[in-house]
Amino acid sequence: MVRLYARFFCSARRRGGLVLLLSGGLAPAWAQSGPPAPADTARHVLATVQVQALRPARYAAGSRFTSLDSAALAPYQGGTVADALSGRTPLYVRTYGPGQLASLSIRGTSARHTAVLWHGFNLNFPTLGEADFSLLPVAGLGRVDVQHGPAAAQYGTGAMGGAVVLGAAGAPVGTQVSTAAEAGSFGTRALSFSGSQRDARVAVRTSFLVRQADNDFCYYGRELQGEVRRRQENAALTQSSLQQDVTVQAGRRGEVTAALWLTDANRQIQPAIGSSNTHARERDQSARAVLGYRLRTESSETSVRAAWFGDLIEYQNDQLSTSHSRSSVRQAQLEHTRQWRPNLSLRLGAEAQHFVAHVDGYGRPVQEQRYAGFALLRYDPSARLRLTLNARQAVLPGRRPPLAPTAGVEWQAWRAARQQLWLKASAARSYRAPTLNERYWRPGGNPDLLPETSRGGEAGLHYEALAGNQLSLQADLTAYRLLVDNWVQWLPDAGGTWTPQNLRQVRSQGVEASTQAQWRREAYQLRATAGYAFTQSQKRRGYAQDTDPVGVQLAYVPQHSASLSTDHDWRGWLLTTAATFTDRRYTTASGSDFLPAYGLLHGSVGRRFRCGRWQLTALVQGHNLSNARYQNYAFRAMPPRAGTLSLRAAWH
Amino acid sequence: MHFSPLASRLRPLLTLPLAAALLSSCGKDETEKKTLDANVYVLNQGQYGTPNGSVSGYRRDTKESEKDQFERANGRTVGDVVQSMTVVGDKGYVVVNNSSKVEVVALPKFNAVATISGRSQPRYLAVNGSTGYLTEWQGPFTGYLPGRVSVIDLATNTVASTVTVGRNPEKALVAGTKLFVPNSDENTVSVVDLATKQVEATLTVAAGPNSLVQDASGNVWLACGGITRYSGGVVSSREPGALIRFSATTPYTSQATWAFASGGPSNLQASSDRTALYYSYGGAVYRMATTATALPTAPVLRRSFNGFGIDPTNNELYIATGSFSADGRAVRYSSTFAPVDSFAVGIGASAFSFR
Repeated sequence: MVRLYARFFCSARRRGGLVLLLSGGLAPAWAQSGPPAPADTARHVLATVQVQALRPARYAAGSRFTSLDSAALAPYQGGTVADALSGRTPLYVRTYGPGQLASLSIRGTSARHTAVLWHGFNLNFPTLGEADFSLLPVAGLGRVDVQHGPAAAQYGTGAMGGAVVLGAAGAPVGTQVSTAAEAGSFGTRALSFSGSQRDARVAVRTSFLVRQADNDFCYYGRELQGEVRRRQENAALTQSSLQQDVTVQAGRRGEVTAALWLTDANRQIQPAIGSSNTHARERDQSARAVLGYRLRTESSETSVRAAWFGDLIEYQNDQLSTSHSRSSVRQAQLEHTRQWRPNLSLRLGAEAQHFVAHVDGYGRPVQEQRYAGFALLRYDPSARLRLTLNARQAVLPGRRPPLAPTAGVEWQAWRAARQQLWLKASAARSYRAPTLNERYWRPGGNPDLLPETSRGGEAGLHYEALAGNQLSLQADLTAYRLLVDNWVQWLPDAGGTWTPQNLRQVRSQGVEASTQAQWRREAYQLRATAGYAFTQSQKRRGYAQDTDPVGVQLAYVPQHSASLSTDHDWRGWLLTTAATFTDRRYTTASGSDFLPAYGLLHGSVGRRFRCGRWQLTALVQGHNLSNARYQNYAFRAMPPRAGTLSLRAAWH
Repeated sequence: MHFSPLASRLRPLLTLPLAAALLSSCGKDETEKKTLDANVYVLNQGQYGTPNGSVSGYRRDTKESEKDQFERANGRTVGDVVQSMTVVGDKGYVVVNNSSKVEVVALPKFNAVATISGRSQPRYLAVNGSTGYLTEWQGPFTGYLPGRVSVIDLATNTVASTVTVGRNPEKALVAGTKLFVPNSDENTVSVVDLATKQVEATLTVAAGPNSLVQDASGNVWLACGGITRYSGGVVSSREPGALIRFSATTPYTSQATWAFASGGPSNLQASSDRTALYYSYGGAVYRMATTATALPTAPVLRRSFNGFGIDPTNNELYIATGSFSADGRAVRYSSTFAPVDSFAVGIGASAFSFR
């Protein structure tokens, strides 16, 4: 976003001579250790009232997932999805500073190639085509599933590198209330509350979070007098989030779900080390409301959902009058799933979206309609073979992106008493509709822009073992290749106006490995997760006016990244560690400058007390324990060693 | 607490990132390396908002180049949006727009000797003896305020006073006892008296004045690039620019005006003997003799570039090319515009300075 405004700013100032611009994890299908059972089969569909947790795996055989469940998310209750993903997975979350714009690019693609879904709807800003993961607090989320690769095309536009599916927290039977308070270094404070109530007919869940940070940490920069220690300026933030879900049984077979998510962030924009502090600020407000009805029979399920998502972004600094951006999407989805046999199901669906945007840079209100139809087929010819075949066809104004099909297969190649090995593969084509900025920005917006498309395939292994009742182990290995065509790049045209053009072909290929182990002995329980990704992403072809070189690793795509986390639990004592390694990253398209590799270690120690129906948890968390001096994005200071103390009281 | 056998097997893995962190934090100190003894400097803006601007150096005789002389000499980057550089004797004044500063370097080593900070969107430095005049913009985009000229004592590198001029002052010219300041968001030139350091006259010219030169006979030439204004993202007005010649002495009588039908010239420069002018217009470089009575109809060079410079020692032409996401290239042409050489420069190469 900052970049985008910069681009706008720059093209505006061009005349003045200032020509500038501007994985670890497991398929949820296998999430429960134990004997293999096809997940999400009809047996589960007919549960009593259930808060709709859209698990993404059912029609995604052969796909790779990185999942953070509620246990993995627990240390991040006062933080954001950006914190959780960057702390616990080898995914590279690019951030302009703590709490600042954070974007996720999967498999060497860019941020706008990641679809982010909540209750089945894409919540990327329609103006920018990407999400800011710093604006998505973890509080209220039950799990985060990242589906890698273009097989995520079933979610619609933008899922070229992959998709992030945010799952709402469930509401267990009975009444639960919890509240937490957190305080830490650099003026970090957070207060959260969540409560749920569920009986046979109604499930209600509320969660609320407010957090603040001054981010006035010290960093080092080089100036005339040599290395100097400076206190970070203009990086404070206040953020709040409210989630409210209600699910009501309607008749014997129906259920109505309503969900609301409000987020508000008021951030100062952290200046780069060496740039002047122009007192930049950004206000982001989003409101998301979903209303759904689901009707189930023994062999079918029909659901209809309507949603309204609205986003407001206001940005200003000393050199730029306030820039306003307001956009909203009204959208509806209709799905019908037919389960002919326990091993054969077909889902047909359609989606309509109506966008309205009032953005200063467009100069006029803009509206756009988009439609899509899809079919998802899952067929398990035997207990050892799972097949899925999906297709999605979108209709965009004036443009029809190509059909986005996905085919996936999983085959149990070997099985012993307590071990099994699966082979899996998938191939897909996906697309990205041009963003509203790309189409309507004035000057420069290009209404003739073609959708970007990607073709990709992946193949891999999944291994799981159960050694007695004490140890379970799962491991995944995936190799993939992805080709993105019509990659959009903003470049100046003959008249010097920056305009987006379909200019490039980008190829990404790599290997992802992950393993998860659980070990239990008497009162001690250990969970360890390790992940590694090798990513090679390069521009392969371009046009003459696109002077960036081919064959160079794209900027901000680390070739190697790894994560290792452990969670220990012994008689109410809790210990967690999370370590990540990020390889060096080029900061320019020419591969001439780079940020050095860094490793980070976070950890926490806590104690859980039970007292009747109360449970109290006290946790001391340490961030960047080795006090590494590092930069995630060039010239943006990151905090040194820091601590947080949190207290949580839960009643059930 | 006891570690499980598995956990203890995993423990060495835990230390890997730590080791990597330690290795990567071993800072390199390269401040003692010798920089290239350059005499052509390429100003690379870098990416807006990120202080990766740079100054590339090049030697006319050996054709050697160095991508970032400042970084090499000082172990840090020069800053965010390198706008211009003025060479005065053995000092270089690098104006860094979005770092709100001027870095003063000793040439040819390029080691920083002073930082003049706290400036407001600084643009160009003009020099008269031991006094520098730095043009600065003020106010936000769409609501620019009158700009200012900071009067800098080059002996102490401190700001002695400021003079308010018109909106968005650009590349000013010292001619005789006056400083001519083109106010590019207006159609005016502020005339500052070098003795009193006050604006003594405001000349009305064509829209968007941006650069000036003084020719061999002492007259002042002014390039006005025109002004295109937007409202709601669409063009609301287009005022064309002009090339104007006027007297350097009061009352600064206009001698000739060559109007442009649309847009206008920018980046006006003079040949070494000041009998020819060079300017860019519509993506091309034009040359015009100061004795000409009409604008040149054909450019001397047409190709994609971000900026150009005329070497005042030999009238050779340099152009800067490349994007704002990758390193660029500078191309050197002879005084008759035949290509001579090209070399790698930094991100957003846009302007030149010569020694």
